[in-house]
Amino acid sequence: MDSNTTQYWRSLGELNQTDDFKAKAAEDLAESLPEDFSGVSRRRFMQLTGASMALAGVSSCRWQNEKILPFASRPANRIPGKAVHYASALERGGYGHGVSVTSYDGRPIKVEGNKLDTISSGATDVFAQASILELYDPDRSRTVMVGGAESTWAAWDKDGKSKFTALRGSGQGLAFLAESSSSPTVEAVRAQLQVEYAGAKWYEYESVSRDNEIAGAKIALGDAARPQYDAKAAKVIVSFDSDFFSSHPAQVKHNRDWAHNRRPQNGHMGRMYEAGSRFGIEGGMADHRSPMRSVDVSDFVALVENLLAKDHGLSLSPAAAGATVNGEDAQAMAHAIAGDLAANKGESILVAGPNQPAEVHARLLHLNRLLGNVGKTVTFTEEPAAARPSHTDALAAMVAAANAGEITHLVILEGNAAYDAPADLDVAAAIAKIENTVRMGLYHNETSQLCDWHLPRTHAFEAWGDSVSYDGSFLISQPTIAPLWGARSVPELLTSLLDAKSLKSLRAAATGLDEKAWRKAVHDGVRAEKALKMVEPTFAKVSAFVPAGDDFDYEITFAPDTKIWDGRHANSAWLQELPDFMTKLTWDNVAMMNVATAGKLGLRTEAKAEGGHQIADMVTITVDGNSVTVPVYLMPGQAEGSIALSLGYGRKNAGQIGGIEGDEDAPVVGFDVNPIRTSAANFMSAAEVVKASETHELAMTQEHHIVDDIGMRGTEDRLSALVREANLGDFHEDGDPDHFRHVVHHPPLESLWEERSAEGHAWGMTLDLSTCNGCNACVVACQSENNIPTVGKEQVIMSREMHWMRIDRYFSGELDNPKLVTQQVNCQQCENAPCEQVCPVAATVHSEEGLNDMVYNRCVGTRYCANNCAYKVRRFNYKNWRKDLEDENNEVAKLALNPEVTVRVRGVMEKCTYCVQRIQEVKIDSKNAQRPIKDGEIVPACGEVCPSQAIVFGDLLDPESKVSKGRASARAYEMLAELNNKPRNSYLAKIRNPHPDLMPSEPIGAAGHASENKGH
Amino acid sequence: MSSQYDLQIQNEIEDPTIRPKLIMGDSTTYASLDDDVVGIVEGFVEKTPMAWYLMIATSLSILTMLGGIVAYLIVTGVGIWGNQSPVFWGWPIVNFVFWVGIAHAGTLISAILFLLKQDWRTSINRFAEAMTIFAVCCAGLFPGIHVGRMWVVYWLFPIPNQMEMWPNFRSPLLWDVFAVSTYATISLLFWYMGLIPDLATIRDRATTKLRQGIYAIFSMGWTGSSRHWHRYEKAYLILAGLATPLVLSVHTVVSFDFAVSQLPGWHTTIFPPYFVAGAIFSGFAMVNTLIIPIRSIFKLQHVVTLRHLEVMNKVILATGSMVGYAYAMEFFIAWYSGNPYERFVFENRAFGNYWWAYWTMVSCNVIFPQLFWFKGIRRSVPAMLVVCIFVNVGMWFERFVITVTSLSRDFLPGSWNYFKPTAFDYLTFLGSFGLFFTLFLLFVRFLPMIAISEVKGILYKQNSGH
Repeated sequence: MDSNTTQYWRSLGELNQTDDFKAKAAEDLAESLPEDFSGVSRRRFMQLTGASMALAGVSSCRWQNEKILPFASRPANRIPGKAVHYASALERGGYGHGVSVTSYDGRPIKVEGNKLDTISSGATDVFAQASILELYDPDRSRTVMVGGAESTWAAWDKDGKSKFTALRGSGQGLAFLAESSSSPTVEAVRAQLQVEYAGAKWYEYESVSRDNEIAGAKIALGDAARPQYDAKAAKVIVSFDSDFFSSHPAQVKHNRDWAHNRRPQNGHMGRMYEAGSRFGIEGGMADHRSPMRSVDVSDFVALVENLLAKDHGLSLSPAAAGATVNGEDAQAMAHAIAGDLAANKGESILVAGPNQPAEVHARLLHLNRLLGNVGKTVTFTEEPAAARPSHTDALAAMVAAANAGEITHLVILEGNAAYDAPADLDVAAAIAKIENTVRMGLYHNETSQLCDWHLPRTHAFEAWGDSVSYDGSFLISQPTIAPLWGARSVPELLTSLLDAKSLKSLRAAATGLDEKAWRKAVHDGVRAEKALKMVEPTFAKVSAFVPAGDDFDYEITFAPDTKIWDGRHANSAWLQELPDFMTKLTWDNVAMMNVATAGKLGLRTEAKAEGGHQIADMVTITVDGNSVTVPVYLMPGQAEGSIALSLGYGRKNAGQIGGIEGDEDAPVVGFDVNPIRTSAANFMSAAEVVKASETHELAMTQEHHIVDDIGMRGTEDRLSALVREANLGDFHEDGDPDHFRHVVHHPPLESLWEERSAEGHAWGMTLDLSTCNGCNACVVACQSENNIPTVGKEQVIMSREMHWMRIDRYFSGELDNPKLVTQQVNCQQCENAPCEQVCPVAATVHSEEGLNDMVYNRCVGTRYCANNCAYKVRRFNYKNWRKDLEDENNEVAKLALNPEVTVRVRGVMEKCTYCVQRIQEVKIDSKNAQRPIKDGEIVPACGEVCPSQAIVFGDLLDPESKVSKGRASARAYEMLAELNNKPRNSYLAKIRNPHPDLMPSEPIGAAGHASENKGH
Repeated sequence: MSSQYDLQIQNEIEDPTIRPKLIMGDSTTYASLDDDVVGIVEGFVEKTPMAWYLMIATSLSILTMLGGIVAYLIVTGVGIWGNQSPVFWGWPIVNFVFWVGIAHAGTLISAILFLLKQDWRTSINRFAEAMTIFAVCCAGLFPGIHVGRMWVVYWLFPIPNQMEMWPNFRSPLLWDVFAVSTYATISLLFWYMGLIPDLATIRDRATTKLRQGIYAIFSMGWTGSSRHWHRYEKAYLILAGLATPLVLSVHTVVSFDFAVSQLPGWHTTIFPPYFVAGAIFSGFAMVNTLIIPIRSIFKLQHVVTLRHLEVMNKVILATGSMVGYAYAMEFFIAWYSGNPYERFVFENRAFGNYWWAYWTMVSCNVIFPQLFWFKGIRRSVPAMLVVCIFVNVGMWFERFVITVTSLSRDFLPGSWNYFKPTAFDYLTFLGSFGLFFTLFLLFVRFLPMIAISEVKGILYKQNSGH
């Protein structure tokens, strides 16, 4: 094996092998005494033991009898057991996302992207994947509530509504606080409301918004326009603290387009740079990254401008002369960026993130224009939100009006201002001053608790709706199930306040479609014409460069959580248990800082484990007299002096999953950081950051434990063989097809048994390490498709998470500025499967098509298969993870289960099946139609959802199939092929495209024959 | 009870011209031997010692706790233990191998030493065989309850069924089922057959009808006629012949559970001999650990003499050295193979985050038994007791090291983890001792713990002085 010079490590504990640390590690590890009874008290244990003895005699009880009846007459287009797909849409933060809902016997069970939606093109993000769980969430609000007691819609219609309709005419004192909406129907209803209630006020608030981007466009263009980026046409992307590939509403499209430029077989490779405070998806994908505080990014932008002007003759006015940044690396990167931008005029994208101030956005828009990108890689559409005030201004105005007594009636439409409003706005007090308040929402949340009335809202899949996506697609969402709890939609509620028009007529007017076009739009989910027109803006004069105030001791940045966003998804167990892309953390949020910052704060600079659990130090961060105490995560690559916080946690009334304050069975998850977030800024200086006396236990799916120096060395030695990578210069696409396979040399392999031959089909998969950005969509898609249970924080700490698909994350290189390596790992479907051979009851067997089948009802649970699996992809049901479904209240959650996939009982092993149910469905269809299966017709859930199309599935017996070509390509290799397991999964090696000037003196990664030094 | 033997007589002197007596005490006769051994059983009836009641009460309490845990386990799932990913096998399997290993001494002593005509075995074989049976009971418990769905564990047996589903004959776990169940059956038969003449002795000496009746049933009409003896000895020889390969095969097959897998640290060809040596090592240590207090409590020092213990200690020294050699050879091969995963596993064992387990194992299994090179230590009862207890501890740790350290860090570092046992792991292990000692105490109470008829044969030989 090649053990090259790249130093790989996985956590800070690995890197900092101080004597103190070693001593501590030794001490910690030596005492692995039990601290608890695995969560069971003595009393509880005795109870259970007694009960189990008593219940032993009840074991002869039978299953409950259920009678099923066939349809007397079958509804049209309904074939029992045959899934139907409906186009629909989801909306988050005022941006629609086109989806396709898979429905079985009238119940939606899975969400895919809408192939006709130009952003989705069939892929989605984690939130869309998890929306099914939200639909069937037992904690969703089920009834109308008044004063905290259950009520009915009839009561609302009779008593509640009249107080609001009484204001018809003047509308004085009536106000609406709505979450951001792009729905043309809501817009039309709202316009009608303004007619009937002339003085009514409409405030729109989102805690996470792109208002800075809009403000930046206003500065640069005079009027707001929405930039649309075409990453496919770009050769260079420079991300300035951006969320281009992660939280951006068009990230799915960006990822797909950019992936096109990251596959060397396409003949061209793009290059990406990132400068920012957080090490996230953008930093992970970038060829070069320079960690810098968010506040310093504007200086960096100015430096790039300067270099373009000075070295490359770009005329910039006014030039930001004299701007500079600290650090040689950052300066070198700025030079490289300037060079690349000048060399690729019209083929680059410069983009900043929502945390960056409007001025930075404005300057980058100008820079894009000067580089000739506008009209090519950057185009513009209308910005529907151009006219509205910023979200924080709107909320501040509402609070001011309420405090001034100008509001007497308030209608809150979704949102959770009581939880996520900036700390300087006391929304709760303002709401309390208002006489009549009503909130409509999916959940009875913190804000509902403050209101007189609460009305349950329909889920997106329960009602008609429409929305507009980031790029202007007009999306129609049709209901795919009748409202489960008799809820109503927002437009329904609003029209019920109206006198004049019916919702139907308003909607018809809003969509502007005749019957035929409407039918087509409903079917497609997208209207043929875009809702937002393209515009060609004229660039206004750019404001002068103002260097950022730089007296920050510690910079605090806020960002929506990659899993639960601003907290609205806090009650989704799938998302809570999803390992964060970078931290691999579940069920918590943390303050991310780098080791130097932690050292300065007097915190531990290496991980601490107690008997195998990771214990984090905590810090108290104080801003304007408000403080929060959060656990610390030592994040390599986080900018020094910058502390990153995630929003969305610490919800006090989220539900059984997300936590209810004071409820022992539903502890509050994570820490609410909103109390120190002010409306003034997106990143701010913390007045004080001090070490707190408490510690906090974190549940992570990687680095569950402390890693000693031997573990670190072992990781280092083998990673270049597991995750193979090379720089573009060291690799030739049409060179040796076994280039990367030769990273590991081994003696000729011999099989103990007769080798299997494939019959009919040989299913295989390629996973592209070059384009995988680690966004996690595949993990949730797999969970949804395959009925994978969640296990909870305690069990994640015990390393019993159940994900069939996981993304292993490793760092390499410098501690301050590491490189990221991610690797998707699912079952490799080995032809010589080591798991199959050792199962004593033949519960895991091989199919003729090469699938490593798992026979759940044969499995007795010896777990030998999992021990013998080299890839550790097998997951065991150590307990009954479905116990919550036994609760009558949770009956509804069963509807989310995919009927095509067995729900596994306690005590059996499970693992990825390549979505065998999808394979079978297509096989049956093709057999019925007497036609061969087309390549690409079968798509497993992970492959379908992947925005960058990094997962390709198909038939290896078909030499023309995409997967066969991928497997034959020069980048392909099989992980641990030297074990002669003959995996059907091939990985396509990661190719980096570093700037020649920034190349490290020694080559990165394994370079096959190029470094024939040892181990052959 | 007769104990008129001379403690000063040294029967362990290695003088080739004198064949030392195996059974000491000039006055030891057939009758006194009956009195000494059967007297224990009878003595219990007349006045059962309070200590026995206390001990059986403790053992039964622990056994009951085990029952409770198993019931809770069946209701809740194997998740009550610390098993996780990637350490899918934790303490239950460690305990299984530990007990199976202990179960090796009995058959080795009764079968192989019988065939090799090692007469000294007669004083301890009954005892060792009983220990074997009880250890197999404990061992058998674990694979049964550690599977995810205990209620279908019978699928491991090749029972003809309507589905025509057979177990997977390629799986070492299946071989294990055959190996352990065959071993348990043969050991039980062997033990019981050996018991028959002695049960008849108890029957014949019985003073109450009940006792006579019960022992009569179990002695199967033994009269001691020469025809009985003739058949008995033939059958005994055949069983010994059958049991002999089992001594080697059982732990070989148990080692296959590990060796046949592809896991670094498990996948080694040295495992079969290494496991067998380790099993004999641990079995002998356990026999010594138990018999040392027993022989002094029941005053059997003239039957189980210091010479016996010394011979046992020599076997422990020999097998301990083999185990030590195996440890060293594993390291050498790991290095010599050039396999990076293999190398890492062994480096990690000794110096990684389970170093404490590894060095506990090495000091208990390799270093302490080496003290038996010194005659003084080999013959000092307290010293050998300490060493034997260390060996017992060390052999448990050996199985822990093999099972847990190898699993916790296998191929992909992203899946590595540190295993942490729960309270249930400790309690289940403790509970298995409850089972063992309950059976053991019942054995001491109701059955002759020395093979009287065999010892009589030795007595005859040494008295007649051939």
